[in-house]
Amino acid sequence: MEIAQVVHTNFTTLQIQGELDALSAVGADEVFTRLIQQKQFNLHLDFSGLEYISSAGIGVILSHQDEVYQNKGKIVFSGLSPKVLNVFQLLGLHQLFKIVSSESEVECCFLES
Amino acid sequence: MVDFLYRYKYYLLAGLGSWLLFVTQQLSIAYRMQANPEMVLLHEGFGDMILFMFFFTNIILVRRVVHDGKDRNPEHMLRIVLFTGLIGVLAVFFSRWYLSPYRNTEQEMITLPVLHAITLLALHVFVFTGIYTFKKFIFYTGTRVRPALWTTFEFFLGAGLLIVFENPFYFIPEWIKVGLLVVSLGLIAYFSVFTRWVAYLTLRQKLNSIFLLGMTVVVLFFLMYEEGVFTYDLSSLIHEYFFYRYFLMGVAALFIASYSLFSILVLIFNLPTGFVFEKTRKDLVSIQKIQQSILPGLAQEGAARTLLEAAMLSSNSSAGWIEMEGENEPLICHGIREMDIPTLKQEVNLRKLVLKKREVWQNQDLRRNHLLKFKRSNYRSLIVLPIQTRFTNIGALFLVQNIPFGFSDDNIFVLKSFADQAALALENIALNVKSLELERYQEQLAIARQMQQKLYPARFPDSPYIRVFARNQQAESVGGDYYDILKTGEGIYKIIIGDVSGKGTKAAFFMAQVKGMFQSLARTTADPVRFITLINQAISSCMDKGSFITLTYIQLDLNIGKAWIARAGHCPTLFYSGQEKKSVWLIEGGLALGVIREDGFREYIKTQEISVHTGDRLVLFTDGIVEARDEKGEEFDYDRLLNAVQNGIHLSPEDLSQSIIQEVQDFSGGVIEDDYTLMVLDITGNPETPKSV
Repeated sequence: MEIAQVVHTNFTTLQIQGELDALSAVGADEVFTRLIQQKQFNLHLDFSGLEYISSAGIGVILSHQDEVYQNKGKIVFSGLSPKVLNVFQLLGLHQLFKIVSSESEVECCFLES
Repeated sequence: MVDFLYRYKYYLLAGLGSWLLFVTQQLSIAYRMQANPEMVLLHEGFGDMILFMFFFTNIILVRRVVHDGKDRNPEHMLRIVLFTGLIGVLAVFFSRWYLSPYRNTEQEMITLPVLHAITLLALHVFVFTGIYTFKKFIFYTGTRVRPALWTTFEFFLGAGLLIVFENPFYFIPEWIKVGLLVVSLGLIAYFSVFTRWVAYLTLRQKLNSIFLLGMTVVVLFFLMYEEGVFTYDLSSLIHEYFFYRYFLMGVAALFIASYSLFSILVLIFNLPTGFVFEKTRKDLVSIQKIQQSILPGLAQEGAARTLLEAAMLSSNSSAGWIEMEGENEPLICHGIREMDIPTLKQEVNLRKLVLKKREVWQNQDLRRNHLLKFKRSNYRSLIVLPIQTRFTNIGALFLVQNIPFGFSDDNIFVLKSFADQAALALENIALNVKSLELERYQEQLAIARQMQQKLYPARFPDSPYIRVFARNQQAESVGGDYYDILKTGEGIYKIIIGDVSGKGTKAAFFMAQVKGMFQSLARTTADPVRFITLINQAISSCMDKGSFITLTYIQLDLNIGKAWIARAGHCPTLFYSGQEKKSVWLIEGGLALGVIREDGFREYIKTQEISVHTGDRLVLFTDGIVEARDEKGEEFDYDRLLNAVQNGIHLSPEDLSQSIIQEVQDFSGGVIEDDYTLMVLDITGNPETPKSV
């Protein structure tokens, strides 16, 4: 798994490549923790390169969503493969997070707030 | 003894018989001479034959017995030789005392031959026991004597035995006798050099052997004296014993004397090396002791003590101590007070130094070198040895002596091997302790597994309206899957299936909590949404962030033919309608438990209501089934499961479960690696029309 970080004016994009499983979840957790410490609460997760996500990977996102929402932040997902989207829907996470299909919509999501 | 007699009965009988013949023949001559003192003693071929047989059978007997002896300890073998000789001496003394009343009487002519025969027998048996024992010494471990040489020696002795037959009518040419004698003496001289057995003796055994060999020579001389050897003058002695009928006896006695005396000399010269040998032996024993301290049950301190004792003994140290890595106080010390140690090594941490350099540190002239300060000035030499294996630093061994340059290179070499051995022992002890701990953990895990197995329903409610079968596997000792079914009224059932994220002990704890809540809440809470919300409230507070639980809760009321399904992030339930002969996924959404921990959670859970009829089937499962992967990484997925269910509509819940699991196993190449649960529930009737399948 690889994570690339792109900082925009009012949000930060994390491009996650490869598989987010129990092993790589540790690295991802460090990235999230650091961003939240830096008060970056508007997060865009670009999953277009994500092949697989395990429950531990979901756990990493879930463990930080509390703090994001408490600080009036937002987590927006884009580029979910059908498989990953299926996992999100199964767990009911699509109700909780904004999931958009194209990159262009991402910016709008953060403008609303 | 009885065993011995029985074993050699034929040899002994032959030996005794030939000796009795010999005595009889001698007596017959004596009687005839008594009757006719004027009788000219003519030579009798018959008598020669008897003497030959007497010698021959005795040699064969002794050869056999000594050869069969299993004892390889030279000292023991020498004892047996001496013992044989002493028995002979006793026999001679006894017979002399017994026959003493006849001395200087007319009867003496009769008694003397008997006495002679006894002495001859004693001497003969003793000498040949000696020869065949010494043969074993000559061929002791590692000597390079050719066995053929010994055979030659025996052959010449045998040939010498034939000299017995020499009589006034038949002379053996002198040159043959000389030849026999020269070759025999040459071989005796040659064999006498091979005394390698001496090197294998301990100091004590050497001293004993000197004594035993000395006594052997004394006994030999005594018996020879009794035999009357020394009554001859020298030339007739040589003639009788080397050129006439006693040739064999002469050569044999010479061999005994020669080999004994030579061995005694070698033993005496070897005494000083005996001390070195002793020390090496003790060192070896010490290494063995240290090795044995690896045995389980022995504490670290025990192994350290063994090392210190062995090292001090081997190097003759006056004091010593062992420091373990990571500790300030020495583990054990000997010959020095613990309070004196720091002053000795005040300026530099020698333990760290030797462990880092991986070599011995030594200062053998402490008084000149001011590196170390010490209170007690009588310590003059100090060496420090690292105790370490290739990967682990264990500690250091300190040894001091009261004399300068007290540790030789040889000492240090031995001490090093002690320290290396001890390092292994100590490391093994540490590993042992660890593995014991691990074993305890495994035991605890096994108990946890047993306890968890009890959380699953042992059997399903006995009901005419439903038929249930479930299969469950945990990848580790304990797992996070859970399923249960409860009958709360006539035709009313509560069904739950759940999966705690992650595996192992943590998941198992939450699973147990869910079980507790299901058992208590399911009886009182009719509404699935309320049930799930309550569980979320209760369990979220104690779950760490990032963990979550997925579950499906079904309330089934066959009285009115309805089921309410609430899915909290869990894999959808597959519903097979017997009327439509079609399977559908019950996907109505819901959020997993533990994601949102406050009241808002309720909004994310919806209930799906369906009508159920006799012949319908519900298939519930956890993600271990659908997420099983084949070698290409592809998942088993929902479509394959749906097909499997559709293909197995005619199967009973048991058979369907088995066939699905078999299919998943085949798909994933033999084993399903994740936790999984599969539950199949058939509706077989309702309270109004029971059992109308």
